[in-house]
Amino acid sequence: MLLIEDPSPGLRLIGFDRAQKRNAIGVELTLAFEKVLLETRYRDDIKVLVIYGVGGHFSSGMDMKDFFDSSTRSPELLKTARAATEHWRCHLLRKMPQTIISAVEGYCLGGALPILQCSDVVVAHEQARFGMPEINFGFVPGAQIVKAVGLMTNSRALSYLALTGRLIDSQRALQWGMVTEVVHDAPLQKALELAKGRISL
Amino acid sequence: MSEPVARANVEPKSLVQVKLDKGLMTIRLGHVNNGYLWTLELMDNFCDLIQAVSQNSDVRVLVIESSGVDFCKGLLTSDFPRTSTNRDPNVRTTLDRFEQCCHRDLALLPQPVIAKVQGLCHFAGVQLLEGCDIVFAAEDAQFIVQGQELLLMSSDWEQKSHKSQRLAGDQPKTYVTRIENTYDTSEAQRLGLVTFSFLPEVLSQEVETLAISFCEKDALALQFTKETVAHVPSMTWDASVNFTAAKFAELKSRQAGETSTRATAVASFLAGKTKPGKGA
Repeated sequence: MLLIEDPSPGLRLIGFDRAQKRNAIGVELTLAFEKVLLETRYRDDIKVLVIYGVGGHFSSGMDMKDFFDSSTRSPELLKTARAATEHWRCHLLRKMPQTIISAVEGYCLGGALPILQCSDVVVAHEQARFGMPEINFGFVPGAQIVKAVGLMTNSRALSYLALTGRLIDSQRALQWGMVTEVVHDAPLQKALELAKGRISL
Repeated sequence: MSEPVARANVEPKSLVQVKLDKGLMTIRLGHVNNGYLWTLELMDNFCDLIQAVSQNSDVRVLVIESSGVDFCKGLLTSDFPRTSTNRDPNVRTTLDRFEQCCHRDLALLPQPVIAKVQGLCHFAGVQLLEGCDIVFAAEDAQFIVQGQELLLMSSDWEQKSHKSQRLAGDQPKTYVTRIENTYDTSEAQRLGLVTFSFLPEVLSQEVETLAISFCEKDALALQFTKETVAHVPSMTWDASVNFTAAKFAELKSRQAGETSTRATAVASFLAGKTKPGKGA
């Protein structure tokens, strides 16, 4: 579910590794993400976290099959997974002492957007796509996602994303304050360069 | 269909013209007889219409546009004499009502509201745009903020409660009266007044495409999404979690065709089947 690497002193890479589901955040992934953040938070030797997606997409958001009506998971497990999700996206990510750099390519949708809001730097590939597609399925975007997007953008952008369900490209995400830099090449490479520069300070 | 909407539909010379087609309500403001300037009657008619629309489930989306070439060419001076310093009760009552309509009623409508802006947009129009969910504007549109008009339209400027105050900066009244700023569409986008800009020749098509897409979405989910967008940004993180839980449960229940527990209980009480504190 997660690919965790510590390739050099001070740096930790966290990769969403569920490529067959476009890195949708399911039960196991959200539990693993909370766990690694909890463990990393008190590691003084880790200065920078780089978060990315394996397989061409950052994350397509929450896994609807796991968390919504058709879920076959037990109520107890779902309750635990929901609590973990609220923990990392409402509190834990915001308290991390490390610099957080997100490298985005492909889809970055719905439940993945609070990760961008908690990042100090967001590097996005020029072909990346951002959005809140919940309304297209007759759902309402989670309030935590709405709040996070509202903290990154203005109310016009928030209304457009939430009500239309349309996706925007990286340049628009840059204009709307969701992205720091748009790159032509692999965003992970750029993120690693930035991370190494930060660690050497 | 509620009365004000029906009346407007059969009155093509009205200052507020309305067309409803397959859930898409188009509202056209202004009339050639007034040189397309906005009047007290226009503002009152608009407020009446918005109140009626909020109860009308036939309306799935609103598009607000001008019947002239300019979205808002300005105010009719005979209706809004600058020398009155706005103490005329008739003027003040309508302006306060219009302000409430723009800042509150439009935002709380269950339907999405799209504004289509072209040509000039004076401050009365800017105030209306603040209550719209999505603003599509022509690339050559111009937004004009003139100090005296701004103070005329904003009854409690000193309370610093207006979204539009960002257009004038945090300035005292004495300074604001001297303001005469014109913003182009790209600056209006940067300020968060406009969502997207388009070439003038494709603006209508873009608005129509978006409006039709809203008609195809789940109306209840759209209403709840609007409420979420309106209320959540000012909540704490923990409150937003509770809000989500409540909204998801209500949405699931109502999409399944069930009424709320409260509504069922009230209906039961009114039918004489339940007594307070005694249950069924």
